[in-house]
Amino acid sequence: VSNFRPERILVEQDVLGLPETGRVLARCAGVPQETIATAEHAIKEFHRQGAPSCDPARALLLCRNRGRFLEPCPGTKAPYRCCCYAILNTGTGCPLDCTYCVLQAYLNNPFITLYVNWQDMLGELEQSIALRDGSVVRIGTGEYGDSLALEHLTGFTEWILPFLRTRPGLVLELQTKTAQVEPLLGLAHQGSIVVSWSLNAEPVADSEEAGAAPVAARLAAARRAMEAGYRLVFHFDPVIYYPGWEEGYARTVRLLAEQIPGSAIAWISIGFLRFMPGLKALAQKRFPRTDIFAQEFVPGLDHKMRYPQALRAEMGARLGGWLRQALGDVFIYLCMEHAPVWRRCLGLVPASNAELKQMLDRRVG
Amino acid sequence: MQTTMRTVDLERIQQQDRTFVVTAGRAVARLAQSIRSIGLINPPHLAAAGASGSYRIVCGFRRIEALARLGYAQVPARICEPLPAERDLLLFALHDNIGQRDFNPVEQGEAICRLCRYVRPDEVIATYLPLLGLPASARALGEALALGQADEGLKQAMVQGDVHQRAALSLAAMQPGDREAMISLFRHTHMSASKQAEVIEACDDLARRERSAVAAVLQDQAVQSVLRRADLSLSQKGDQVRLWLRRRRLPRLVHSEEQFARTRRRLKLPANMQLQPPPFFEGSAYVLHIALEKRADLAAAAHELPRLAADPLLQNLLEQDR
Repeated sequence: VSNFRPERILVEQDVLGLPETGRVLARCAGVPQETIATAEHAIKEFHRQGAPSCDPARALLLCRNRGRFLEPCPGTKAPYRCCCYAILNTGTGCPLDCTYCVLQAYLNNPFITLYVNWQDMLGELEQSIALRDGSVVRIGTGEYGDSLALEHLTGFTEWILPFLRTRPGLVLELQTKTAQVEPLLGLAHQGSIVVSWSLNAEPVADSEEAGAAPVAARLAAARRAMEAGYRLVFHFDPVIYYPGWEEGYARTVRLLAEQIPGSAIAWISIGFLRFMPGLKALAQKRFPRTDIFAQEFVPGLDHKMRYPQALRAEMGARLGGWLRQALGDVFIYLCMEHAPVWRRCLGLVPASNAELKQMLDRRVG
Repeated sequence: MQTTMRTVDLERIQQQDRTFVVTAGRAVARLAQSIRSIGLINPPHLAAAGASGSYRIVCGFRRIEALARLGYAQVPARICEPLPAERDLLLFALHDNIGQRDFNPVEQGEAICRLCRYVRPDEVIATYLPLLGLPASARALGEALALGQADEGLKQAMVQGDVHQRAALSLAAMQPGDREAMISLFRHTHMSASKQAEVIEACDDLARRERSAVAAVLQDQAVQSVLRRADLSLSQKGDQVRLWLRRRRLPRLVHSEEQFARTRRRLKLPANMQLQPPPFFEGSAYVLHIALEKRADLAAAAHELPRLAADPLLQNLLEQDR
């Protein structure tokens, strides 16, 4: 899987003169560029036209973030437990184009978008009381896109590092399904960055994450990051049911344990495929061969479609067991799950979101 | 548009040329009866078809069909001349019909398909979708085109009311064999739009899961035997097929529902008490409803609750998720 190179770049007029824009454009020499009045206008035009002139998934939009850069992860509604990390918005959209990606239904903006007004971001981060008083410990850039898929174009991690060093205890989690760790390897991160990989059973990765690196390549990249001194995180998310899932996920756990010792892992999360009902039709239209949405799903208490509780509990208990067997006393938590599933998968239930947050904060604090 | 009245031999009219047709699924019999009673009130509009001396129909397909059925050899007609551009003839046909009636979804789709030959998509969206009573959006355009381009079998099933519009959009995207199987099912059952959508989704899910075809799902003996039953109404057949599909599609949920129903029966709750499981068995909170009409009902319920609380069946139910 090669580094993403856009087929077209749309640049908001307002950000033409910013150094970050210049850096991205210099690294995309030869790619056709178009100056646009505003991102909002370009998005509206896209939706208005029946047949758009370019594939938005291959177009890069450089624009100003006019909203907040730092915000709480939207998580999901009670009674599902959430880890309360904070999102650092660096952009939206992702070139990996996984079949199950919620962004397909969640975002109105079809373009892969980078916010390039980084000085505004820095100003907001410096002013943030939550970052100063330690009430936010973990921030991540992987909620609305892949943290490393555009790193070769932006150099964002190197740029943010000096700020992170001014906030001891604060940790940036870079969340990826790529193997693109080169930009990270020489950085003096001093423990202020953890790098996380989403892992899946290989048949799922091959069919549903075709734009991402193969599982083995992700793990090889994780090993390189570990050797460069980074603490690692793994997300088995989304865990996807298919006939033979046991063999597929057990093998990924074995591959993980072959590459990475449990001591290098800050935590592992398990989350089961869940989606807003509207995603199914959208995804099946874009990926006609996918069959992951055709399995048994029921509406959850947060109105997202979920596997029946008994199936989630069974899958989580077995996956958790394999992970503990292979990696020892590694910290495992469930993403967006509720008490009955926690109890049956892991034998513990955080009393609240705040307690789960504390559990994770302590792992990196 | 300028026209000249002329009497034209019916055999010179190209009835098979459907370029300007914007009518679908409307019976001609009543119109023929009307013409027989009082004659042709409004002569059709025709346009010369090249130099052959024959004519294309611009407006009045059904009138000409009715006249042919009644055995007319000639028809009084308004000839559009000088010959306008095709786009103008189509717009004329469209406006002639819009002024008289609402379009059904097939007619809307066919009209939009034809317009798209002459008019840019953004103009179709902005001007003609609202004219036909549709929202001015790319999505509405896509849906109208899908219906307009659907095969005749599906269009006919829609016009006859066998297939609802929402279902038709799904069927239009299916393989022909699957589509025919679904249309056949809907012809032999009676279902609301939402039930048709549910059945289509269930069949599609099962076909994907089993790596087979939708038609193969519907060929199952269980479905076919329901459809053959003479003692069931069309609605009952539809319900039975839906239930069978649900059982196959949601086996774990159906198992939980049946298990719970058995337990609830064995708990022998008083008539004014109802025990409900968590929605879709998601979570662990069961709800006990007590209906009270008089104070004595509350006292009776209070008397019943300790027995219920001590029942091992209830204990198992509440602790199975713990």
